[in-house]
Amino acid sequence: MNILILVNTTDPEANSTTREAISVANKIDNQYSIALISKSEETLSHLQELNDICPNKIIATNPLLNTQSLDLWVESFKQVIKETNPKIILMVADVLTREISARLAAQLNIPLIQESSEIKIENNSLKFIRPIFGGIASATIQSDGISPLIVTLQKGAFGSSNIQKYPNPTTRYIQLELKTEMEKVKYEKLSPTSPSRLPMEKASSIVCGGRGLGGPEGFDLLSQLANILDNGTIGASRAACDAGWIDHSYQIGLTGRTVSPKLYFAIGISGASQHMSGCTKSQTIVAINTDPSALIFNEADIGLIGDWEKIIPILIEKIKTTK
Amino acid sequence: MPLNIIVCIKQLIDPETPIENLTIDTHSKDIDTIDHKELITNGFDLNAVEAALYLKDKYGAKVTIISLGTMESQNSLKRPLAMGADEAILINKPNTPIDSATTALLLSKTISLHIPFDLILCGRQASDWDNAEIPFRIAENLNISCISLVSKIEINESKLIATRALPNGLQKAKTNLPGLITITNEFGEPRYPSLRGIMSANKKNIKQITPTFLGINESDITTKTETIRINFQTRKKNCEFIQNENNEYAAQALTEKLKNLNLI
Ligand SMILES: Cc1cc2nc3c(=O)[nH]c(=O)nc-3n(C[C@H](O)[C@H](O)[C@H](O)COP(=O)(O)OP(=O)(O)OC[C@H]3O[C@@H](n4cnc5c(N)ncnc54)[C@H](O)[C@@H]3O)c2cc1C
Repeated sequence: MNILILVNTTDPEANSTTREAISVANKIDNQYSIALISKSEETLSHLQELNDICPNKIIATNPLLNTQSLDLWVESFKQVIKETNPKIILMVADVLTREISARLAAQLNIPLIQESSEIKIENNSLKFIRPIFGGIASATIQSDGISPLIVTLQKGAFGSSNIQKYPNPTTRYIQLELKTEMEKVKYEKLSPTSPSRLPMEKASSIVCGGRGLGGPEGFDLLSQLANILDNGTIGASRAACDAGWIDHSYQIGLTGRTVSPKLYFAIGISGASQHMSGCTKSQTIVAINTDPSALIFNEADIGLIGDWEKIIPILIEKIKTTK
Repeated sequence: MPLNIIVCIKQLIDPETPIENLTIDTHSKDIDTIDHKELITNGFDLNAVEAALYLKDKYGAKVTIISLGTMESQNSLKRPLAMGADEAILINKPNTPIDSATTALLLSKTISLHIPFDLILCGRQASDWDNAEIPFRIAENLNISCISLVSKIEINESKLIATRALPNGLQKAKTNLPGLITITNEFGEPRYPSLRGIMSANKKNIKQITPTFLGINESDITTKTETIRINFQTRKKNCEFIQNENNEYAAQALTEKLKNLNLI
């Protein structure tokens, strides 16, 4: 088996996400390569942690590579794949790789399995398990074993316990052939929605509000609660974002962010599977909801049936005095 | 010249169907509803229809809806027509299971019948399998540029200027037409059909196209991946309820609980 891991070198967490992909590759076959692409080798110095934990490394560069351009990412990875002929191509799923993987699959005319959360070896063949229908079900998929296959891995689903040291890793250099005309779409720099905020993925506590808040004002109170919690910040359900009460960048769930804090408050949130798929990995989920039959109580560790508007102000005072 | 816009839409099970009403169809290896309820149009695809109609209102356009589905899907094609789309085409879904590559091929071939088109719009993903794969395959098949997760669009001298709604913020992207973009719910709610729209939609007939017409014989269809099992995920935890006879007491009890768990 021949595995190629394609790395999103622009991901600030590329070291840890790639460790996860490496851990998966180690389970399948210990002969694999990771491919890093960039303008030049120097710009990859932040990924040195990966140097001795994989057997083969490919560094593919071209000074024309503008990493804002998805067209150039696709073209570069395609060239690396054509040079190396892998049977399985792994990427850790994020907004960038979800698009790149699909476009590569189309250009190479090969199948793609998105967001795999578990991989099993049964009867000598690989079975990929992935959530479907917003996470209420899972599908087990296998490929025909003939065609190469692209698989994106759900972030955080595999862990990185299976890391080995490779004392003599090989490095292969590939000169990418890129032309400016390949850049069909011109992307501008991202304008961050709220730069001062604590990144949700790093928060230890998240206070998440839903449609039950009834309006934007509720988030002020939730912010007060978040501020007195350990490394706390606020989040929102899609219903709250769609209502315009809070910016969409706060959305947690299938089409928003995936978080795994120690403490997750779900306030006025019904617990739809698409919301839960973004927060089930939280250590402790506390739900406050007026409806005793709300689905959220099936997935919460601690439940409180009641009106947030009455409970949260008191809760803030109680926590302040306890601290 | 008005723009020639194509919107691809998919019919699926309402993603908000309670799990008790869902079942696994072991034959097709997919999820079904217990009472075989009528399918609905994927929500993000309706956002894409809205985006097309926004462009139509602003610049003038002919909007064609294309869907791959069964005869029952015809009903759901009425809604975009009633909203203001000009025509609809239904590609008859083959009886054999087809994968994303074949689905995208059938859609691409149908779109090719509409050359010259300016813009293809798709929803960001379908709410059943959430693959977000078909739009990108269509763009690559047709060798046109594509921009994903778009929440705003403008067209200026045959240049498309789009704003992408990404998890960390907004990003502008520009490209020449023709192009494909995927629309996200941040674009805004799809409009309600007007009474006049509904009446005129009822009069429009939906064009049917078969795979054979597109040069694809059912017997030649192969799939490179196969779903072998579907399982429901049971995630039920044992929720510990805090008694709430009065809010003061409940807030205190919750605080103590969190303190004991070392969470505050
Ligand atoms: C493809 C797809 C992707 C999606 N992606 C996401 C996603 O990323 N994130 C997401 O969140 N959703 C997502 N959704 C939407 C999801 O299905 C739900 O519609 C949404 O999560 C509901 O939000 P909610 O719980 O805030 O609102 P509701 O379901 O309306 O629930 C509101 C809750 O508030 C409670 N409540 C009301 N008043 C009070 C009060 N005074 N005190 C306490 N509780 C009160 C009610 O009992 C109710 O349970 C997606 C849907 C689809 C189809």
